[in-house]
Amino acid sequence: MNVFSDTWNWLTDSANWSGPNGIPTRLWQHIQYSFVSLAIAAAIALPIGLVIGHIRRGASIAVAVSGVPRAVPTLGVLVLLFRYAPVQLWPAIVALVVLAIPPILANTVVGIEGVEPAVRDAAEGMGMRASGVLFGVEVPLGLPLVVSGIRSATSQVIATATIVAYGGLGGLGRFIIDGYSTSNYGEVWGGALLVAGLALVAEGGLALLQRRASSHRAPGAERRPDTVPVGQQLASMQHPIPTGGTP
Amino acid sequence: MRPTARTLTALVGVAVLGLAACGSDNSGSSSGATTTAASSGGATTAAGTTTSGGGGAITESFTVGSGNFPESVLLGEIYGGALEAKGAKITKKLNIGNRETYYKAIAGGELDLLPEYTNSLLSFLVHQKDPKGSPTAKNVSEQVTELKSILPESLTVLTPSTAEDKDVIVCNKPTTDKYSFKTLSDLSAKAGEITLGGPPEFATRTPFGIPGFQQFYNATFKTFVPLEIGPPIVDALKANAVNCANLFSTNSAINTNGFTALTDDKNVVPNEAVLPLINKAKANPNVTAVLDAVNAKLNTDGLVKLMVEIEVDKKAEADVAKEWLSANGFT
Repeated sequence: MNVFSDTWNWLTDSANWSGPNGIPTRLWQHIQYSFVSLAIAAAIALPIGLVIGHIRRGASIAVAVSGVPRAVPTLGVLVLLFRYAPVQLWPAIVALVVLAIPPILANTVVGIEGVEPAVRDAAEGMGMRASGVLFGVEVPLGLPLVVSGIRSATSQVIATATIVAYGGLGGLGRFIIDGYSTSNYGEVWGGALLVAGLALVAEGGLALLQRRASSHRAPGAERRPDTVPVGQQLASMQHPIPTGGTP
Repeated sequence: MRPTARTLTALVGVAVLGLAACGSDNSGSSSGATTTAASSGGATTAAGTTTSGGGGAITESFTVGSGNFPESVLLGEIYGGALEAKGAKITKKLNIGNRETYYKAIAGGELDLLPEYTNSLLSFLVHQKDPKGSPTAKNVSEQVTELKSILPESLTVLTPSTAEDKDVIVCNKPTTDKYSFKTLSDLSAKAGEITLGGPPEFATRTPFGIPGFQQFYNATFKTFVPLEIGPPIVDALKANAVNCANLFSTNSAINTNGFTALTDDKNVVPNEAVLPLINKAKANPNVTAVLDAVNAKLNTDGLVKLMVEIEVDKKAEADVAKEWLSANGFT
């Protein structure tokens, strides 16, 4: 009757792995809520971040302003919106989007703006248009930071998507809330572990992506300069001695 | 640059919206803990006026407590105020906490008087003795008998009022307009078309929960939406996101939103009559007479009206209690 065995028993009880309140259903709902919120947040924050980073004006303001929603309590937004739209999904999605925008926006701005001026100047000097500079040079170079923003937004959203259950909907938060109100702490811990596990898996996946984003440019440019796009050749200028390449 | 400015405005807008959310979070009940104002009427022993309490003057002093929810605070104010009008010296320690906390205080002698509810108190005491046990009493008089036998020597309960604060199923207006439900049996006959809201534990609770509905009313609902009991459930009913839901019978929202509370025609829900839990040493005939007279005047509808004054008109529990006591001839 301790919390470890309660949690273990709950997680291994086959009755908890099927049906509309089973772990697979709740997990899938949780993934859906998180993915939709992150997709909307990225669709809003990425273009804004790319433009601000590229024009290099208002970047510090944008980073500062994008920090403001970080202070907004997600539960506050949710409760306020649920008053007007009880048992609907969109209030929860709005709350999660507000949560996810700041890290994506700030990292995108910083990532793009942080590209070496010499590299940009060179690209412009070669006659590349603004969009070419942005997508051919700045985005590949800024990508690791951009992905890192998405990564931190992802773990925050997955952890926070538990509050969707507060509004009478599903997701892994259901186990935490239901377990608490029936004093089934094995269920509470089991639900919390599943959320943490999901966040770690997503985090790991994006960390891999981030590694690839930061390593795919320079060594390739060294090996086969003739087939590498201009942008990547320019990118390699930023790190003349790539860590992973041949010296 | 233009899109930038616009997005900045949008972001600020989002921020302001969020901040507004924090602000309005705060506006809830502000009934502070521990009302210390000892006595506004003072110790000026109910100056000769005949009050409906009957009996003689009271010389004891009482420390009156209550649970940490408005109705309990109100009842504490009413019990305390009625005794005070008869000369008792009252110290109020209202809004203490949950039953675990305040019961310990009255059992330990720090409190003399508390408003309680028959089934909740009885279940609590039975659980304390046997975590798997549940009360055998079905109606109020059986509950009072069982309470008197299970309470420790130092405590007793007095005659309950007819006011009850128990679990009910209420339906919103669109639903009652369509189905004209009156009883839980009516509801159960159409359960397959009904979206029901209730606290998460409703899904597994018996007798009053989904399993109980299946067992006693043979009803299986279309969907069950787990929501926090109180404002979230009220909002969901108002928006017709659920047809019917579990609330407490004295919730003012039932009145103010035109919800219909359905009759529990198979008596599944245990009674929850309001009654005083009191230090036996101080429950002399004069004290008992006053509290019995108060309980005789309390009923569920009356209590709902008082709760509307507190929850909707945002009046202080102490003021509502004072008005009720004077309107009913206790002060």
